[in-house]
Amino acid sequence: MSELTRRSLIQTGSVAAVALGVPLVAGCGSKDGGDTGKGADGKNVAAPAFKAPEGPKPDIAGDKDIPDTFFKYPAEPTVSVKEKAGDGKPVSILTQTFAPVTAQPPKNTAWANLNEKIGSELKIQQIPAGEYASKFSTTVAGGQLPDMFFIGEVPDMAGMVQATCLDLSDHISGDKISQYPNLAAIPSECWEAGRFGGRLYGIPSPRGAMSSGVVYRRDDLLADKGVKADWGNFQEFFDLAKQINDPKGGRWASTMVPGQYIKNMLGIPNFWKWDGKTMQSWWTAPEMEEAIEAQRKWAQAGLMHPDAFSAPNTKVWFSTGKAYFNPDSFSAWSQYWSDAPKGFDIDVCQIPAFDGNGKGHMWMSFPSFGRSAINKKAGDRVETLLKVANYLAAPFGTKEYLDVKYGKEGSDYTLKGSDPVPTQTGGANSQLGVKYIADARIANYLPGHEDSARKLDASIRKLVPDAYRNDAVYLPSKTVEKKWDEASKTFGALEGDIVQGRKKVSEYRPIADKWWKDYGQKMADELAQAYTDAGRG
Amino acid sequence: MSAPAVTGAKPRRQSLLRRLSRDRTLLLMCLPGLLVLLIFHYAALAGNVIAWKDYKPYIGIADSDWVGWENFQLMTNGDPEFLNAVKNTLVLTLVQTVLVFPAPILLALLLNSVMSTKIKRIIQSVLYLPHFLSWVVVVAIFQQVLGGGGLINTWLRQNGHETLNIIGNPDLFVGLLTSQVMWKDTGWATILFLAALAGIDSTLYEASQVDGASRWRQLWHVTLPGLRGIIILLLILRLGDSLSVGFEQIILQQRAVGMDASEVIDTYVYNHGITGNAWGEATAVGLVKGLIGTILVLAANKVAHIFGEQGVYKS
Repeated sequence: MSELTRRSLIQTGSVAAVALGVPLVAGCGSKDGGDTGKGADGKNVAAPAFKAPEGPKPDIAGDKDIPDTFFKYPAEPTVSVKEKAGDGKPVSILTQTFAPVTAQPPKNTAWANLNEKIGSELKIQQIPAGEYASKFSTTVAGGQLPDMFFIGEVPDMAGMVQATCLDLSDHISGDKISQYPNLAAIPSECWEAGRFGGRLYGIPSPRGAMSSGVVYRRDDLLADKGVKADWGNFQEFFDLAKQINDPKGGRWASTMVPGQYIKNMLGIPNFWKWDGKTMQSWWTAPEMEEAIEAQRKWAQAGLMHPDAFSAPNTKVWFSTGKAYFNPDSFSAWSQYWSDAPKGFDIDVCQIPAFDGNGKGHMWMSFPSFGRSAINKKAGDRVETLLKVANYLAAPFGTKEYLDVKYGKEGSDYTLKGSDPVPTQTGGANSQLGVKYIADARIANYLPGHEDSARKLDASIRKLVPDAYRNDAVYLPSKTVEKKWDEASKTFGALEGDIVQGRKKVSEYRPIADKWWKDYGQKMADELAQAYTDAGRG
Repeated sequence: MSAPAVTGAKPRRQSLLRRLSRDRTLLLMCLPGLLVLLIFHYAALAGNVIAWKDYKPYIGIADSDWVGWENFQLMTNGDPEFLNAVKNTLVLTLVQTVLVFPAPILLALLLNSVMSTKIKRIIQSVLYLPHFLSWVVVVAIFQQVLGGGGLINTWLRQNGHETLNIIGNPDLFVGLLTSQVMWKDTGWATILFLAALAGIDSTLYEASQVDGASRWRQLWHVTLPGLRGIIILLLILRLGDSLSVGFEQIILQQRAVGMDASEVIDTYVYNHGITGNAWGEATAVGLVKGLIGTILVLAANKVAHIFGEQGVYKS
């Protein structure tokens, strides 16, 4: 099944998707994909059997959606990989990165250290995330796929995967995954992201709720202004934004139009919603016009940074205090704290209902951030490559986790007590993008910021119970495969045009209805069939 | 007495082998360029076959199914997005041909009238510089100056004035693109015209001065006729390129103004083909664009011949 991704909204040029609170959510992994369609024999191979890692006891235990919280790194990290994972030969990797592309080894000591510990030189090609889809398409077209790669967004993903990626089923399904204990610690549901034609091709990167899009607020700046971040409906939120918006002083209410937050307030489905009989799409939700009109109102009042549509630099604007609110994902929390100036204080906004009656609903991110795969041509090294993935997926509390996430002790991080503190270059050096090849479950761990870790845990716990999931996640549909990207492009551009005043809100419904008649209904029917076939309905 | 030499006889032409041997150094110097041309321009043309195929990158060109003219149907059926891209391209072509093409001619004439060689060289260096900046830098500079949070708007905001919506305003997009092109490349494009101006026989100016011609008369009767050949040559070459109106420049600014105002044929091919994975359709569009460019060059060259000009090559 093709990607059901919000990122395509951005790439369509729209714009506005960028300034509508969509991109960062997408950027941090709102992916779907996978294809739980059965194999030729009508059966699915068993998903890899989950086995919880033997690690330190969390200070606050999470669950499948909420990450475990740790206040301290163990003084004596365990060893999760007993022998060298690599075979001495180079391992080529193509992956994406949301950080600046790193220096190469030996200058990059984190990378050199990883090569040494793994026992194979990792030849990593890091591509900026915004360009990854194009790079991946052209790499596939040129037949230049490396040994391991993050699967970019391509239509007919199932066809592409089955033609170019190695079927891992015989190596990882069921209890076979126990040879790779760190991969076995990935929750079973995540592996569905890599299932195509009933077989297992992909290695997931579990995220739980951490990639879900939320709105951050600068509590320190709001306190300076004497304003309490408390609103019970959209109008109150809008009024508060108008009150604090100060273009003359160079500080705006928000970095961009909080489009997804407004949709969450209105209870619009997270892509697809099972209504008991069929699937309902977000694009045809009756509340869409109200959501777009509210965004238009926000944009017209100039409540977001004036470059929000043309040159969005939201994280920097938020960190440097140019805006009070910023749409981003939970996973950005640690990043904001890592460079926090003195007095910096943030939290995640709760989501009331648009009209104040009840609660809004956050959109729960998909269980896995896409999936990576092994090149079919590298079949003779499958065990080595899975061992490399196993190393990269080392969980919190292990020595390997420090190698992968923090680099080399001394040059990339130093220990303060038992906690790793990145050096000036260490933070950048370790951003190799390998977390999109394989990763452990995210841990809520902010060395030196125990209060902040508690705050994040509390925020997630408040929002997750009412969150909407995408009911069609990892379900197959031929029509989605063919027509989703086109529709994403159309709706993204349309929404952007309306919000920026280039089109009228009244132009939305005829286009949504036409799409539903042409393709949407068919997509819904196919997904509903797959939903019931999978025993979910 | 020996017979007189035959006058008017053509000198005997050397054999091909002898000529190759004589020019071997020059030919060797041409070889790398020739190879680049053959591999990246001619051999790559074979890839256009995917315009007639349902090309799937992961199975390759050879194994993808033939679909005949199906990929061309979006053009013949008048796909609204394609038509919008064609419309925007033509508008930009027209504006750029009318405004951008003559700009370096005017600038070259102005520079030519500067008498001090030192000042002229300084001005030329300053004018050439923007050509060496990438589009990413040029777009960023314009954003920093004219953007919502840019220099001008920040000053206006801080002084209590209304801000200007320039970047991100679809109504001003054509003007913005054109001004960026002119800022970046007008100086550089004067080089050829300055060379042509230097080649005009100075005795023509002296003769016209003796005849009492004013500066304007000299410009009209000596300078511009001296530039006519190069102007026509460049105009013909520009026509061949006329449907290419700045891919990188536009794709960098597309999201700010929306697709309606900014989609041109080149960005359509990219967005549709590489990003949207409709490789066959995108190739078909690119192919037709190339054909139109070729036809325009040939037609313009023919017109040039009819009016007695040399054009790109002699008739």
